[in-house]
Amino acid sequence: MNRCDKQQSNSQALGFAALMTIGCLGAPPAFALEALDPTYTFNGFGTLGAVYSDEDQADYVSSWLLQPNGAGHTSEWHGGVDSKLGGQLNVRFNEAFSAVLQVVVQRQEDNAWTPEIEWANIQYRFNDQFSLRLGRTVLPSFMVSDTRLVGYANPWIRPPQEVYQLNPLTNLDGLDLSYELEFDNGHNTLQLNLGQSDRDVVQDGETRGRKGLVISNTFEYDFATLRLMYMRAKIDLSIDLTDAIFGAYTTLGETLSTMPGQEGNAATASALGSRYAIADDTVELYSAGIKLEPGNWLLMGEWGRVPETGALANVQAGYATLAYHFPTFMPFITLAEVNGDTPSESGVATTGMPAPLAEEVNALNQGLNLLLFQASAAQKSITAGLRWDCYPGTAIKLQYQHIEIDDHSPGRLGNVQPGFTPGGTVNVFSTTIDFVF
Amino acid sequence: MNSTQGCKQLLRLALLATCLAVANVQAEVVVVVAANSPVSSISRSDVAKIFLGKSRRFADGSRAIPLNQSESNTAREIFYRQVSGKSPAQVKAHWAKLIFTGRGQPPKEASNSAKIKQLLTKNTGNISYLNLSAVDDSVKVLPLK
Repeated sequence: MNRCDKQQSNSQALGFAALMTIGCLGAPPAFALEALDPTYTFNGFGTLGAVYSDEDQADYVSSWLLQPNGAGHTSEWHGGVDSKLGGQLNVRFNEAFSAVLQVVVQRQEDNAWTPEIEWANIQYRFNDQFSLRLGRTVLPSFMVSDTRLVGYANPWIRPPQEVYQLNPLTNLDGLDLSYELEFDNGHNTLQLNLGQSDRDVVQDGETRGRKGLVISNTFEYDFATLRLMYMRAKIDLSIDLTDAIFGAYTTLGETLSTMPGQEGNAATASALGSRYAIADDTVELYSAGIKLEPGNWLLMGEWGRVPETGALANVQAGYATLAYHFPTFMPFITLAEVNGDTPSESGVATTGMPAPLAEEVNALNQGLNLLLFQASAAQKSITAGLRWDCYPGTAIKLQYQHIEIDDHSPGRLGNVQPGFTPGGTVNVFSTTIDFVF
Repeated sequence: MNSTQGCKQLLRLALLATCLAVANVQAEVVVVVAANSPVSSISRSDVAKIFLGKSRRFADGSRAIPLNQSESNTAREIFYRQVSGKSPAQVKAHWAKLIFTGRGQPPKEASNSAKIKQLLTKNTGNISYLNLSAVDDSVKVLPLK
């Protein structure tokens, strides 16, 4: 994937997609020539939403990594948490060859409503079993990752964040190979994704994922769907503020190593500099999901786990949703929980240090623990909602979420203020109009 | 009017009512292919799979191409309820899911029953559904196994 390696910014991603499309249109393989009669279809989706939160010392956000602020502290009501507009161009060259370009406008990490290329790939279907996609595809972390941004396709306003925010990234540049098998009443899809991902994140940060590998298997039988997934990648997460803390420990280590009697503390400081930094660290994600749709009922649950990676502590999450389809109404209820550890880091001891240095070291230790606190996610919530399919292709949704935040974490809240006290409850009311066309 | 006549009339009325009721409940919408299609019957679940984009083939392995009635046609709602138990909203959401995985497009739509019949005769792989009243010699009704 040399071409992908050079891809740094979104404008280059656009060029990449255009190049692939042009490559396909301009130089079709010989066997496709005679059958080349491309059909184009355009589909769109969108959400217009507003969220209210009663927590004034932090913001309710749809992604802790990709959304800088939201409802609560920034403003009681916020329209930029769920609102988005997406367009998807599908090109079918023949039975085997097709291409997809999906562009989504939503509020980005820098608070700007910038269009981003969500997907840009070409697909080749070898036969009924094998198909290959090359380019930018979905990062299939969870059961509804494909439609994570398409509110209309989901029962809730947004997939339960306790689980879905275990991996806030949504796409991957690389290849996607899928193998499908059909049985009498069943259907099995085994999928392999290989690739990489670059993304700007909040606080002027960026993530860089390399050597990404995703293996997932989806088995559908009658009204049941069962899915298992394993993901692994090498990641770098660089945010100025956190990098400054890790850098300060490294510098501290160097300083202390020149001071007699401080050799031990010097080693501790140096170790802390790299202990929590996320640089070329292997991150893993395991997930499992089940969906049952007997008659008008919908019962759905997912579980996921990310083992400790740098400052991101070991975390496990799960949810269960129960819904019932009336002709045009669907009430639902969701229970969800995320259980991230919060490491208590004693930092570098100040014994034997001159007072001014000890003060600085104490401040640094506090900064590190604040960072570990903010990086931790632990909360429980119950959500009750109603979906109303008021018009074909349009649904209005209302949902109320009651969150109990753990006392060692800000939960899934973002833009956490110094005055925030963990351990409380947050009430969130959201409403959206979701549409597809 | 004597009692025998009255009884006969009552019986006829009852029969008529039963026929109407049966027609209303079951036989209103039927699955059809071209009259010269090699397919002679199909299971309800196979029809559902073909129309929900889960399968691309008939049981004999030949390619199946579903055709939908327009969204405003009540036959469409009745058909999807019969074969899949899904409401129009559920079907729409199902297709939204498939479209936005980039892996599928809903069946092509024909504007009316005459158009459906015309398209069926053009390709024996095509499969659709009609109000029983719209069925004629150009199409073959598939009994659902």
